[in-house]
Amino acid sequence: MSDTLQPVQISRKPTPSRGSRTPLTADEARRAIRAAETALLDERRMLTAEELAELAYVPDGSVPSLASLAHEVRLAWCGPEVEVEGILSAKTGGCPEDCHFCSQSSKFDTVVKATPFLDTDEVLEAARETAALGASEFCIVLAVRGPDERTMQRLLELVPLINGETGLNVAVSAGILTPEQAKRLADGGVHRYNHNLETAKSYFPQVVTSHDWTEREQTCELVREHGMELCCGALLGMGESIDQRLELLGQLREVDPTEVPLNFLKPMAGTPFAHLPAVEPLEAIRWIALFRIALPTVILRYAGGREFTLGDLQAMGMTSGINALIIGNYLTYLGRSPQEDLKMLDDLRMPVGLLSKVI
Amino acid sequence: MSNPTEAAHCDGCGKPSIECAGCRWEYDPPHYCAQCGVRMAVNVSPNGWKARCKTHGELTRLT
Repeated sequence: MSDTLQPVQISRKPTPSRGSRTPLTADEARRAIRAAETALLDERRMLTAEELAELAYVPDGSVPSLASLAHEVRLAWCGPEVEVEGILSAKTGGCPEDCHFCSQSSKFDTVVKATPFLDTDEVLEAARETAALGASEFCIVLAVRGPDERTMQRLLELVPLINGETGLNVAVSAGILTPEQAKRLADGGVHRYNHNLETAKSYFPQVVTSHDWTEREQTCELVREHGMELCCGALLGMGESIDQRLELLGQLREVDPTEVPLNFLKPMAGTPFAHLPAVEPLEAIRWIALFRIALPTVILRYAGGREFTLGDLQAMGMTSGINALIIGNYLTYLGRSPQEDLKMLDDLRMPVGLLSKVI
Repeated sequence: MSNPTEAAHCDGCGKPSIECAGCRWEYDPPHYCAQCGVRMAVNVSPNGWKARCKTHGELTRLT
């Protein structure tokens, strides 16, 4: 066993906040938040890049006010419902790409052992588990660069089966698509296709070298072009700066997703990012709020890393702009119990429902 | 997490139990067989996980 497989020490050191501006004073922050409230709730307009950048620099003491605004924005623009989704890694590990955060890359010596595409019965069973948890969406995730023909045929067989048997909307995440593949998946009933930008274009080469950011953007365009809903998310905590997070928000606005899953890095042993510190809980709340404020119409989903990053503050994220969550386990590690999440939603009086993008 | 008094190996890192008292994070499934310390093939599903050791067979848990 190599030393790289030793468990990652969970660090609670403050995340370095590298930015190009001076933090606002409390008074300046109050004014900026009030101006954003007027824009988003009264004038009902999106904030400019400059207005967003100002909000990214409010002091820690103003983060709860920012979160409160984000919650109001979410209610005003999207309504009270929360969308619940289950995900399944149907083909785990052995991925030829080198995403530095990912334990499923074949380039790194991690604990994940590659397994082939699950049998149809196993995928159906996972979909049934998801439906039983009250979810409306089920995402089949594959650790691949893009789907080969055999994978396409399996997906096209599974999607109508799952939908027919469980009533769930079926989403797919299978990497980079060709135009022909995008059309076939759309025609085959794929409701939503996940393809994350993960990070800003300017930071992407520090995260992935086996493909470039533009290839990701092109797949996102194909998804929308062929009529599937686009699920396009972010992963925070990979060493990006504040300005790069703001850059990513601008780029997400351009690709115009229906859903944005917001992930926080859980450092994985054996990957190049195993040593990175966790995003601090209050910093995570700040960025959940900023994502909602920047993207008022999207389904903003709690995704990977929330247990690790937020711990006891998970309910606070729900009142900071989140309106969807992944329930149950993730791709290679576990989530907290579905019962805890459903109780949290019940306690917050947030109904579980079906969402689509506000036009 | 494996019980170090019963398991021969830590199921988080595969080391013998006398070297590691159990290091698996509560949200990680086991990745090593607690009996032989060999890395297992693990599949995680929304409501559980399944781990297979070539020698000692399959371990399944609902979460």
